[in-house]
Amino acid sequence: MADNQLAEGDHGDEGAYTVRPYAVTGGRIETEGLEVETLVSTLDAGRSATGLTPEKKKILELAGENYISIAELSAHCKLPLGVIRVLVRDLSDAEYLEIQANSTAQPDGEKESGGLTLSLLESVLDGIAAL
Amino acid sequence: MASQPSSETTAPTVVKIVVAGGFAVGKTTFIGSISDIDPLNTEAAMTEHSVGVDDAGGVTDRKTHTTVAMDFGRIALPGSLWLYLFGTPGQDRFLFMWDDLVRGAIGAVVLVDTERLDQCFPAIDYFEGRGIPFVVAVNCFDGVAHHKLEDVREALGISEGIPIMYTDARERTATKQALISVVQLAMERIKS
Repeated sequence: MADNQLAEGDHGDEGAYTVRPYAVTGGRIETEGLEVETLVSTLDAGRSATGLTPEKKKILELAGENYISIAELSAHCKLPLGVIRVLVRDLSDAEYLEIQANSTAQPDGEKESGGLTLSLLESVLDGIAAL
Repeated sequence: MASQPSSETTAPTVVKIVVAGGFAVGKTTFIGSISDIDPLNTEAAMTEHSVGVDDAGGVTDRKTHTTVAMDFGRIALPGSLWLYLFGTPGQDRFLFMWDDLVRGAIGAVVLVDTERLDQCFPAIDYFEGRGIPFVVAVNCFDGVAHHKLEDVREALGISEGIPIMYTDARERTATKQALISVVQLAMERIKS
């Protein structure tokens, strides 16, 4: 994996970026497929991965504790959503990280509205009511 | 060897509800009143995409680099369900960003401040235009309702089918009720 040179610098403070945000992605942008709420989790290979940029290390660390969303990664890493999307895609391609199927993409026999089934909504309703 | 819980359990099912409304209407407070985690803040770096999206009227020399902050929270529900609440970026010139947020959402809560009614118009137009289930929650900042709900409904020009209610963004029971209304509305839409 060819990580951009600019991303290799010592970032010192946790999360704070000292280079242009998209330098850590090698200037690439990615908007498809990864929703703000899409969950990811670190795979075994990701736990022992070496030679990664601080940003990628941080992502694997966070996603190694529990499932975590793109939005949460963005908040914890203090990087824009778009940057996180690219880095997550990279880590997924390297099989360090698993992208979970989005709830809206789950096939279900029931009548659906954007992937949201009646039974799913019923569970959500009961869950909120019980809070 | 360290345990690897995340590779051995099933991922939670994720759903989301969008919390919209004007700037400083209480979206973050609303989310914080019910979220399991302290509301987090993420940013989307905006570039030239913002050109041409203009609800403010006439301003065309848009900054080419700006940052939009977005607050969100998360609630774990029984049955391995995670409900995310996403607050929309406050200013209506970022409406185009909402497409990202509302994709796959159950629906939306539009928070309304009756002192600044016009601030919620873009949100209402947006959700109406896209057929996204939404409820209107009138935030009573001091716990006092200053306007009758039917008057607010008329002022906003929303149809009878749109639920409208008082809320108090600080109160968990009130925000809970608003969320329940959105889910119920979404269910009615599916059934009909």
